[in-house]
Amino acid sequence: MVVAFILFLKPDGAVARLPQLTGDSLARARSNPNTKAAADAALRAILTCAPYKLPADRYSEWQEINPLRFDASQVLGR
Amino acid sequence: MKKLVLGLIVVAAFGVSSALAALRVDVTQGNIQPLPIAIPDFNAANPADTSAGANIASVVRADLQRSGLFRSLDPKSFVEQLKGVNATPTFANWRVINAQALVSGQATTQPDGRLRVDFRLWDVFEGSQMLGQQFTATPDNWRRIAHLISDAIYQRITGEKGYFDTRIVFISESGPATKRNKRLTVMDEDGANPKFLSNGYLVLTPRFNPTAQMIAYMSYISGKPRVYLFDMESGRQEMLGQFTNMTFSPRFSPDGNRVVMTLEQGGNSDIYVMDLRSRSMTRLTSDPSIDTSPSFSPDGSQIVFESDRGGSQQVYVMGADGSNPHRISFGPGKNGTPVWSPRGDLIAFTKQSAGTFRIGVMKPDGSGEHMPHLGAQRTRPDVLTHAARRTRLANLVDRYHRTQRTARPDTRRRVRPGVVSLDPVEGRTLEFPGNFAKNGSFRP
Repeated sequence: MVVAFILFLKPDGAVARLPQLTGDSLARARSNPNTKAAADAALRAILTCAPYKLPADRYSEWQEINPLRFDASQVLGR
Repeated sequence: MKKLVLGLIVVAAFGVSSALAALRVDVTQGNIQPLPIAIPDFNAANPADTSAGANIASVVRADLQRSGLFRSLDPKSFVEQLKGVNATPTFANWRVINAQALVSGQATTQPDGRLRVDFRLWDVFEGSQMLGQQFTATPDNWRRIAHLISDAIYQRITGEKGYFDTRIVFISESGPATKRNKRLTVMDEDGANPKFLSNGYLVLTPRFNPTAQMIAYMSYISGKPRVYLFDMESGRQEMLGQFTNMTFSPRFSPDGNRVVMTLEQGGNSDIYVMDLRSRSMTRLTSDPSIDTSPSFSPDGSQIVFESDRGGSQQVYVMGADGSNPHRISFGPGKNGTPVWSPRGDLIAFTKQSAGTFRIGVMKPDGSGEHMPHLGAQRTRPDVLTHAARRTRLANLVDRYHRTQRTARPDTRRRVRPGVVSLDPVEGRTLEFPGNFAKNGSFRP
């Protein structure tokens, strides 16, 4: 099961604004409670792991991460 | 680690696209941690409801913690005192203690004497409400209200139905070793409210019917082991079928209409299914080996069972009509007492090898076999059964327990069975207090 976000980061690696679900992830999360749970968990993970340590001189390359895809099926090994 | 991975991706993208294109990142690994959740004691408008508010919150904290997917934060660490369920919390006060979810609640006795409990589940990061519900019941059912709240929170966050408002039926044993009293007992999933349903006669392997207030079990009351049905509402017991031979190991089909069981004839054991509506019996296996311990798949189309037709005790799967029996366990040792998970994705079984007993899970095609860690190696899982809503096992574990050194010359090891609930993915176990329990099963 895959959920995808758009993530905007500030130059210090902090999250610039609340990441949004992208593509068909939003529709799938609305219709399937398991997808919604995965999306919620991915969002918590994004916010918990911030701020991110990334090379400041290459900020223009990582200021927008689109898509940031989480593939839950690999995490649980089934 | 994150820096290294992103560095690699950036290098790969650089030569292809302009510097302003967005970065693409795939996250394929993670570590699973319980979600920190803060559940302060529920507010009470009237002082008389204060203890209900505290008790309900305490059961919800324990339920969610026990599931292994949540970490209920210690109320002593809370900075803010919530002002009732209709007030919006100050989320910064909860972020500072690292709560990711927060529950606010209120207990109010109504004019008609019933207890009404309102609660809200909050997302601390976003500062928004995830869920808001209310339950009303007679005051002595406060534990059920707490379990329903736990179910709602669990389902909203994990997407899976909760199993906290369920019960376990098992045989509890008491009394001295020479005159053991075995009773059919039902208790809440968290071990509370044990109630005895029978007394005196020898009863084994009780199983709930998934759709009705009925239990199937095996009893020696007639002298030989036989399968009986016990109606929990009327208290009536009824023998299943008129067989002269021994019948045992009963299990209901998922729709509650059939019971699959083992029938013994002249040293050979085979699996039969009885339709409860017509009372017709159909034989499913006809191998001269011992075929036993049948369990239905959740869609009712297949049966997993134990057979020694290949020379040693192993796990097999066949169609619910007995067609195409094929072996699925190929690991070392003897594999038996299989149970199909209610989601259909796993089969749990016991493995005996090199003198130890362990519990394992595998996929229905036999692949992916692994053993979640169980504390004591010398445990012998007696009977396995899955929780109705989730892959959680109540395995009845006979633990070998050293007797205390006493003045008595008899220092044989005494067996103290207990009910243990096991999460087969995480390997988390939970033991229930109280003496001597055997053969449990969950009720939906």
